[in-house]
Amino acid sequence: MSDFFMFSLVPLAVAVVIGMTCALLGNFLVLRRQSLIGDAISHVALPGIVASFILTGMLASGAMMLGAGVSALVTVVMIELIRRLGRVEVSAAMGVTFTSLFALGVLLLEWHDAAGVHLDVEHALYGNLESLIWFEGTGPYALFDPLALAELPPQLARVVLVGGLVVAFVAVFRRHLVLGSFDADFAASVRARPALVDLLLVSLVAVAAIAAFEAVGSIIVIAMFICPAAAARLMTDRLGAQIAWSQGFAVVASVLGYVLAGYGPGWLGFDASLSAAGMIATVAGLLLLATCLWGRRRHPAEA
Amino acid sequence: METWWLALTFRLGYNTSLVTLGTMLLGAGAGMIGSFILLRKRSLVSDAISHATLPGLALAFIVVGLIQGDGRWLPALLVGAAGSAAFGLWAVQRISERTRLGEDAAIGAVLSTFFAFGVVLITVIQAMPVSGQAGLTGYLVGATAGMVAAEAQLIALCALGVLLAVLVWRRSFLMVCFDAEFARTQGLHTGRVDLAMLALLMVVVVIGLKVTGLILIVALTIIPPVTARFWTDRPLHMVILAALLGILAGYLGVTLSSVTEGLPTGPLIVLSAFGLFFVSFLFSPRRGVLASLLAHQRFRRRVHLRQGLLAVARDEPIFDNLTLRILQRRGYLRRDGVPTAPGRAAARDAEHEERLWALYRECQPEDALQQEHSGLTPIASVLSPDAIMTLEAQLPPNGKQEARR
Amino acid sequence: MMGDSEAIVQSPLAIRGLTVSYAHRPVVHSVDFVTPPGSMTAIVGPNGAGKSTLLKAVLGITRRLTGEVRVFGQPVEAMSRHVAYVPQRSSVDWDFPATVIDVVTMGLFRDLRWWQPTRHRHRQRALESLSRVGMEAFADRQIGQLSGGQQQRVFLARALIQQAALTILDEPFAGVDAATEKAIVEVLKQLKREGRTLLCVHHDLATVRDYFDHVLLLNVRRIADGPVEEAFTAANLQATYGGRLSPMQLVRLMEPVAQGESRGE
Repeated sequence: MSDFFMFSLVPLAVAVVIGMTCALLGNFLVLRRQSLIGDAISHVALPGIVASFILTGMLASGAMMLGAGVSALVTVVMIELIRRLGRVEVSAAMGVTFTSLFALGVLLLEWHDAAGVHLDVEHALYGNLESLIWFEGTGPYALFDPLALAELPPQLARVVLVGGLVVAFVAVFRRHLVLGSFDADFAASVRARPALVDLLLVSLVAVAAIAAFEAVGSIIVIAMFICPAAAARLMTDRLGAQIAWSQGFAVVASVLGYVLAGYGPGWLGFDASLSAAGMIATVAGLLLLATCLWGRRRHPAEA
Repeated sequence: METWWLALTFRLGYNTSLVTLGTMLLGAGAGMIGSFILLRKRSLVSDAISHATLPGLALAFIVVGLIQGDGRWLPALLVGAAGSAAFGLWAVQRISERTRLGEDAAIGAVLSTFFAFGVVLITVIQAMPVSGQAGLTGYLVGATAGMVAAEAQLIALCALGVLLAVLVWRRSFLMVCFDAEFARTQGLHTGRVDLAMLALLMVVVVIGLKVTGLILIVALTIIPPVTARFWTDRPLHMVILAALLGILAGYLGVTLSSVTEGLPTGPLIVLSAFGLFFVSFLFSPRRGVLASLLAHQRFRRRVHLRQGLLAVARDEPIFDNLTLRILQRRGYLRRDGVPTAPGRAAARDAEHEERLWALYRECQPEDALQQEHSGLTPIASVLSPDAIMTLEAQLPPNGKQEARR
Repeated sequence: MMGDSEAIVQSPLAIRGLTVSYAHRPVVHSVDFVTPPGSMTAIVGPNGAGKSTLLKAVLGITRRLTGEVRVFGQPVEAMSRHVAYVPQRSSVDWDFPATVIDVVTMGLFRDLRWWQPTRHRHRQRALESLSRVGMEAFADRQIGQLSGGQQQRVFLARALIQQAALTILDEPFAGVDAATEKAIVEVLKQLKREGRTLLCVHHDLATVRDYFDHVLLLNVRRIADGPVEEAFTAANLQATYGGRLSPMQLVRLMEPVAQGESRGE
């Protein structure tokens, strides 16, 4: 039992919060057919983090967040510039941008590896959820012990903060988001500023991706942006219900994935544990698969 | 610098030369097939394909590792990668066809789920007593340094195969890209053609894994075609140009990476491609940013000038500040807004032009539609002097516009 | 600055020198037009004549290259509250997870701050709008289940709830059945009787005389405008459509209203 509080509680909480945060934003990305912006932004967090590391010379999480934030902004601006000025189709513009920036990140990284500094691509991609250990979490009573709570890994507070920010954003701008997603022309005609709200949404995607990136790696982020929301889309025709479903799917995927990764091999008699982030994303994908096969609203509505 | 020169001139040993050639062929293949995919507006499908290779790679590694103790055997890894990529591609197709989800969501879901499952399998491998595990991470970001001749030959051969296939099927590909509906009425199986395109794309992605790694191979199928688009409007030219750009990017990238020990090949290839893209993006005379901005400014001024002159000719007041500034700078308008003598003359000319155009549109509506004129080009540059004479003869002495109302 | 003449101050929509271009080609060129207050105006022209673009530029959806737009003499940016817009039905994804009443309450966007929930009285207003277009029974229906004509009515209801002085409609009769067309026209005429102004892109020349009192003939430039009897002439139509109308068609179009009605069935 004490093991649970020390080793599992924090990773599980972080995974659940990240999953719910990303899934909430994902609903709007899926409805706007912009799912891949999450993919692009999670890829470019790498160059941002590497650049901030090279500039500051240390793995300070504040600087890394800032670096990743800047690179996300650069990505969005670059995609828009290439799309508008070069008249390139949006998915191609995205492809040009994020692959180039990712290449830059890898190049910088390898350069530094050569100089003997440790930071690797794999960590960036699949994160290290399991390393979030709460050393003071020796039992349930630790939850009420201020001293022990102060020793919680800082990532938890950070993802909770970002989660709160995202919830606040969606609550305040819910009408803007819905209107802009459904009918951008009408939104512009009532001065709902669809372009600005779009930019805000993408910025928050970046913020969520970065917070998650540090804790759980980028691959789980992409999966959580898309899979729960897409699965929820196949379950209902109401937006409110869709958001609720997506939150439920996110929680199920996080918990189930974490448990399977940690204990699954043990049940099969192997003494090993699997990547929790990878397993969570896999479960999210399987949930989507299930809804694709049996979802109540998997086909578009017929007149 | 000196090593780079040696690499550029293929004098850095047989292996390096072979790798360089193989990569160039890969670049050509990726550029060509990527062009069709771009024209079909499905660029990011390659992103899904490339990420979907990871579980196949890992599974093949496990199987080979269990058999011979070392999982690194390129042909088996490539087959495994191709298998799971094909499965991923099929999933993308099914999801976007059979459910209400868009292709973007299908691509995102498949790429993240497959990749995540691959990551899980990699952690399985890490717990296994198999050697060569470090070799697997090479497929994430690519590594040509340790490539042996046989591997380079395999890649070169596959790339050559792709090139030939594209050459053979270029017409059907173009037809489907241009107008799938029309192609269907011509008895073409658009589904099959699409499938062939995607299959070739998959081959390129899979053989590119070893060279650039699975995330960056996507770049090689997207960036050169997008770059080529800046230089030509004709699809076949675009395909050829994209192939050349892919070759150039591969050549520059591989040779650059041989300059110093430990420089990763994949990122250098991608950044070379991006460099070519960036130059085109800025400086292409057709669609480049600089050319477009200049043309836009010029066009805006012409519209303002014409509208201002017409207002002068019709004795209407001008309120737009930019119009006023342009007219004043040209000396057509005094500071107090009164037209000068040259201004009146220019206004008369503009009015005359406008009436000629109007008359032309009225007399020869079909021809007028054919001419992509905006009414801003001097009519003399579009019509022959004879035609203009005829029009002038028909022009009523006082404005026809008023007569009509 | 536009001159503050009496006509412009009273007009719910005055356009001057409006040019919009795509890729250095004017789609709308130097158009001047003053919408008469209380009128029902059709914008008529061939495909690609810039009708929809004109509307979008007026509403600030598309950027204008030159020109200005005034609503009751004020810049449109400050007066957009007085303008309601009905986009083309095909411009949105009808598979969106929303019900009919959700879409109609979108029209209340300007009245609701973010902390205000959508209350019963808002729902009531939405239901009233829906009943004006005969759709109150469908309030809780998923929008993807509606027919084309029903979708168009829902869009109209969303504009009605805005209670704007000017309603701009883009092809409201495209792809709807005859019954819906009749119903929509009735609603529009009712709005006109209330003193509101309507501006409508319209593609069916045969019904122009029947439905509208003013017309703007547009083909990139303004060809003619004014009351239907004066501006909707064979010569103007020929100039607008560039000779693509046969003499037979023209003759029929010039005949009195009764002919148009029988075609409308």
